[in-house]
Amino acid sequence: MVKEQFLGGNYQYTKHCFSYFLESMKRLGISHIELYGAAPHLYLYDYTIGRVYELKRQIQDAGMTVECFTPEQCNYPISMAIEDEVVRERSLQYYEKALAAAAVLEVPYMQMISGGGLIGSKEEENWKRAADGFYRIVKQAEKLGITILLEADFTCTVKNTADACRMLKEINSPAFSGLLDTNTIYFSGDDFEESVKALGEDLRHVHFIDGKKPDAYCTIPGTGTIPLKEYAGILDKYGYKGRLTPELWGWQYVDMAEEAMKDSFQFVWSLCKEGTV
Amino acid sequence: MRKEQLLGSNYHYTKHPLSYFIDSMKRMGIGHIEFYGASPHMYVDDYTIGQARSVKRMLDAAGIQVECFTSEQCAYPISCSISEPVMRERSLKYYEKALELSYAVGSPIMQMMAGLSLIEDDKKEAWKWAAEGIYRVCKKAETLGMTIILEADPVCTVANAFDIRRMLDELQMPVLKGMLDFNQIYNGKEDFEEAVDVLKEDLYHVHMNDAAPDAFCLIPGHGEIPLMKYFEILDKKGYSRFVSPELWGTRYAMAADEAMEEIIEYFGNYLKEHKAE
Repeated sequence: MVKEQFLGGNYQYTKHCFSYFLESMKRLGISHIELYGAAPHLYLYDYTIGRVYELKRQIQDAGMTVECFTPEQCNYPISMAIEDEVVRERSLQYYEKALAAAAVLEVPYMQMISGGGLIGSKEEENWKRAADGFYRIVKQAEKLGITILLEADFTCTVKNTADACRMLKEINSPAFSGLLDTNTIYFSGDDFEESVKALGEDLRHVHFIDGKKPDAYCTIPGTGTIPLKEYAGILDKYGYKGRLTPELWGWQYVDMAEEAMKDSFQFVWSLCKEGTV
Repeated sequence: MRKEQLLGSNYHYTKHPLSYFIDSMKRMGIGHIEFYGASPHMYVDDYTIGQARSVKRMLDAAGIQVECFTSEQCAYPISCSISEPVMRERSLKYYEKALELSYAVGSPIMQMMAGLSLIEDDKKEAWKWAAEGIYRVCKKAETLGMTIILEADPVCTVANAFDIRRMLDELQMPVLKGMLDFNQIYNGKEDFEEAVDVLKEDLYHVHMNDAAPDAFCLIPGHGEIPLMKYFEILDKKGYSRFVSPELWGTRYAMAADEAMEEIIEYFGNYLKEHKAE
């Protein structure tokens, strides 16, 4: 892997205004980012398309390129797999709005998870609802020239790499690919190399973060127990050329956002060779 | 304290449908609850007043009275003290709607927080916005005959018991009261007895939960907060209102009943040891 495969992200900058985040990226010498769509930066319900254009100009003026757009969908009550029709329909409309924002920002990728059902719900039904939802969003993404990246999460209906592969096969669209999240791999008990192999050409993006059982998630690479160095070697072995983001999601680093980004990059860059993508 | 002071709550039941939670409360013989307004139970933006009334009928049929309504305002992007005007106005509308839902489910009390400001925000301005927002929500509460209880959190503009006191003194509204949360005391390194003294007769509600250096909103007895000592202080000061187990988050989502039963047992042990009636 090479340094420029790694993206900055505003995940842990949610106690700062957006311009601070952009300045911080500049200070760290990062010009490619994954944009996390959450308050106070880009909470979709607060943003008109006009405001997204304004944000785009701000990003362009700072010399940044957005490589992936990821709307918040864990903390916020979003699920396409849930039985409750009101929650489900609102969630789909949220993704549609996210896609419209992604189109304005001209990003090649938008990330999605399936969401989950409640305890007692039928897994096949949850799966069907999730698949219908993905189909609806992916069809629109096709028209916009954006690729939806499916992320598995152990709390969701699409919970591991095998599920992700099955969903990709079912929907079968060129605008629908996968991403791997090292936390999902670790907490769902998947094997990283098997997952890379299983996704093959569909592996388009990686969330590269550390973690520690039982419940330390999304920690700075190098501070947990996930064998990230080994994972990097596997990605190299399979010739992975896509992007990777230290997705420092959550509140743990909000008061030391830049430091956390810096430490993350120090670690991930130490795994890189010189060269370009 | 008395057995009746312990409320049930649905904080940790968010992987279950609401009907399951109501059945659980019935099975455990709990007739008074704090209602946590979050998806999938009663996400404020998803629910109409009519739906809230039908929830009240479900609760009535089960013999359950809502004593406090608390809409989600940490995981969801809610703040009435942030510099971002769109977010602030949306947050206030959220509280106003939450108030209507509280009224519809028959709750005499609604809880709210000041919310957080950004690191770059002027703290004096943040306080002013918070005061204006709380005032606006209180004015509506007056018309409904309801009480607003203000909760502090170290990450918010109203950060501790002293801030609550200051806000109550500033606004001078009979419908505005205070509350204490054991985790707030722990995280803000406050002295519990002092906090109780600061609020005096304005102490209207208590969130009881445990915490450890790397974990919050734990079952009483699972962390390092001296809950038994806190109960003694509440007894000593003649606190006669409710204590509510706020097991916020997803930690206990897969073992919600077990968690609630453990809380009942813990509180029961305190009562036994103190030979309360």
